[in-house]
Amino acid sequence: MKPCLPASLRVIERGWLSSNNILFLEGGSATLVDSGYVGHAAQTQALVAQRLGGRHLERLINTHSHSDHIGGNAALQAAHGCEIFIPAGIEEHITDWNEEALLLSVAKQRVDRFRHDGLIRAGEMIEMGGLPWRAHHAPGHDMEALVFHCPTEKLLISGDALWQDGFGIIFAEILGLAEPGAALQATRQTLDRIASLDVRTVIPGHGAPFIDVEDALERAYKRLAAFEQDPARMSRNAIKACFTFNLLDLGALPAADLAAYLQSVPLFRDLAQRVLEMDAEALATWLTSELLRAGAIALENGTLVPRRAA
Amino acid sequence: MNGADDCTGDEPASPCIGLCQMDDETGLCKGCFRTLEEIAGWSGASERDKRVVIEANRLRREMHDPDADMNCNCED
Repeated sequence: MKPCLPASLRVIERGWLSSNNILFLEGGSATLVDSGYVGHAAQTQALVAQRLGGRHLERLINTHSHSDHIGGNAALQAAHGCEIFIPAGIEEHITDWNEEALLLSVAKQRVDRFRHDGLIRAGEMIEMGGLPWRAHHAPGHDMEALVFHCPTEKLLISGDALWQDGFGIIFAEILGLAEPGAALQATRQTLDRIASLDVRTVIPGHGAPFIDVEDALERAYKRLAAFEQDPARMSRNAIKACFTFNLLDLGALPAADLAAYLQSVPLFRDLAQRVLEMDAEALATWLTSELLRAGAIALENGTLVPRRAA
Repeated sequence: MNGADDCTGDEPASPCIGLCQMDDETGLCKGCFRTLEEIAGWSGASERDKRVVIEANRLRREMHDPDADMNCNCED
């Protein structure tokens, strides 16, 4: 069944390189949650303008600080003069523009620098689209991430903490940024927290809004259990997902350059050495065969391209 | 737009392929061949409207060179 959403809320469903953009209409003004990837900023601007229909974009709120959710911030800030609100805990990284902490240099992803105007703290109530939303801390994929729950409409804006099929890469775990097991445990607590909320419809960071919340949670718990049992699986998945993401940004990469490319990205280099115990050539061979088999990429005349078949 | 519609529960998946750049000449996305209105309205569209868009995409794709601009979004 198709989710029934309040009229003041418009979901602009995007793909995997750009997160969904959720627009709240508030009389003559509006609030946007998440802004997509920087390479798509022009289209994001045009889509938001189309949906604004002459309203003033007053606020832009981010669920978390990854490149596919904050990439359009600078362009929208420049175009609309909107105030930008970020989850508390990342303000230093944004103010100092710490590309390592924002995982930009680590994963070779891009974001145009922006300034923030305010913070949203876990537990706070905010109004969006005339509806009350409570911010809940949702660590795991991102340790400072927030999800937004509207108890009256039983809606959850889940960011990358819960998708219809899974959740985002647990970066702090695979990169060793937290105590071993801590980010996995946080992910479990986040799923528990979501399960405890009264939710009828989830608007995820990627993919269509969905109502089969219990099934989604079951899949997420199952995936988490598999990671807990075999942490290396988490790293293998992360390499595949991050490379597919980067290839969407690059558009194409000569297969002959893959090993050198993987070697140039700290995330791939580090995981290959530390977890998979593979050199760059072996990683390139393994990755190519895995992604071709999964149909995530294609090999055309010696060039790796994202799978473009719709 | 956002209310109940005549869906059967079998919602077509978004045709987005992650290219997400508009072609100024055609007014269509270079990746999925949708107009801005079709992309912006996708999530709230009825199942039937989504199928109409997908069929229109197929025809538009055939009219354009399907390989055009495939490798032209390299920005690094």
